[in-house]
Amino acid sequence: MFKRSVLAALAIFAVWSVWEILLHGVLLGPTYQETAELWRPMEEIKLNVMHVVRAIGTLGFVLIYVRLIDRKSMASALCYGLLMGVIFGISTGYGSYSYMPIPYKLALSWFFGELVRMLAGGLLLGLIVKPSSEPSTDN
Amino acid sequence: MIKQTARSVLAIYLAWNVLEFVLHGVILKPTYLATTELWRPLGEWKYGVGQVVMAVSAAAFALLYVRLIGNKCLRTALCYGFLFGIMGGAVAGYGTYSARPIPHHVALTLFFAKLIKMTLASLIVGMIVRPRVAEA
Repeated sequence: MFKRSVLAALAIFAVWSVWEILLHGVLLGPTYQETAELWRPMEEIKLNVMHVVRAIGTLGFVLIYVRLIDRKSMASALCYGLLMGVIFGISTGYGSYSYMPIPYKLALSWFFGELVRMLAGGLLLGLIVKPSSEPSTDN
Repeated sequence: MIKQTARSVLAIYLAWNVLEFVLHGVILKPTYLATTELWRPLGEWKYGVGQVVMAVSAAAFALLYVRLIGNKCLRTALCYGFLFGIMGGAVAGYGTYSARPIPHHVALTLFFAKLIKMTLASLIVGMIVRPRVAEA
């Protein structure tokens, strides 16, 4: 279970990194440029902090599933990803929209961006972390 | 179990409202006033949206505990809330700090606020939602 958890964490970290580059660097790039006064200038963006935040998020996401969710199956993992996506999506998207002067399309994009990110994380957990009773290839 | 879930959602929602008021209305208010260009003017804050966000988050947080978390006890609930709080706090505080020109103390405050919010929510859900065997 430990090796599978580490593997899942690495896979999720990698997929989330790619997704965030795609979402924030490519898809939402023009919107960020339109609202440049709200963000750090490109050269002042704290990329290392972003990586640490993503690593902490990955560890928390995997640990909750591995340690606290007892029925491990693809359905549970997807349900977990969906609920996490709703919580993080609505908070990141619409929570920010309620007090930050961002355009509505950004709130909607953040919401769906987080939903997709967490669902992908759930999918990877379902694929990699199997119930302890199933034959394991760890040893 | 449905009644327990509904009660915990309501309790979490109310507790979060109090915490948000203290955080944004009292603790961070001077900072918001010093960095007005980053926020909506006070009269334009979308409080209705904020309430929906809190209600949906409370429901999803409680639902995740009720439907997916095994071995329901206060310790498990607190572990759930603490891990969630670390994750959420990192995103809310330092995720924001990495991309927005907010002072570091705001990032730190948002981190701990989220950690407290989630741990409190888990305490509530852990106290209200009991395992089925204990109901008999």
